Amino acid sequence: MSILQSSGLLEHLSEFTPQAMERWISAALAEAAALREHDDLLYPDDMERRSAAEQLHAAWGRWAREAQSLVDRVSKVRSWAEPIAGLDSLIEAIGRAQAIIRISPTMMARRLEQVRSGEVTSVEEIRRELQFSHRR
Amino acid sequence: MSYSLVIAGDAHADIRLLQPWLQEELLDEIDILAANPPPVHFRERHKDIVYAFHRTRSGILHRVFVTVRYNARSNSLLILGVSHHPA
Repeated sequence: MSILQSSGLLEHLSEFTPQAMERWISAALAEAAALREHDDLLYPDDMERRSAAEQLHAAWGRWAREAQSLVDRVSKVRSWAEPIAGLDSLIEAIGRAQAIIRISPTMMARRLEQVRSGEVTSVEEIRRELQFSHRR
Repeated sequence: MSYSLVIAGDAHADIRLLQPWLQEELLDEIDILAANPPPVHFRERHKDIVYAFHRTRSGILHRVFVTVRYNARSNSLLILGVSHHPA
């Protein structure tokens, strides 16, 4: 069963040993790695591939929700004295997935258009802005 | 080879949502990214990269994710999005 379909099941597993947690985490990370193989489809330059990009975003959305359910389940039952292999990597992968979901292909197209039209800023400008706000 | 940095307008709005100390950390990180781009074969395979870094402050772990694109033609690193997840 895919991690993308498992959160309902996880709730019903009364025996959730550290070994089982690690195997589920490992499965979730493997699915994220499989999705990452298609990173080049996330923000296509041509409209024809926009549909595939939207499907990929939806898949990341499902993965992030299920992976977060797994983290919540693990957090509920784990003994904090024992490290759980892969848990930090999974939490980071969820953050990465959320960063992807947050910027849809349409939003990215707008941001790239901002770059093309010069609606941009520089690191120096932001540093100046920060110095100015410190002085106030 | 070092890349010049370009921050899209909406990405600048993302950055403004961070606390000032974390904005400064972010700027240092993207300066490093621009000075040390990944190998060409990686950039060709992964057009858009979500780069992650984290900082701990007052016992809170802050994870920051930056969506970037390397533009080889203009030797520039585009910053296209920033998101922040405190643990």
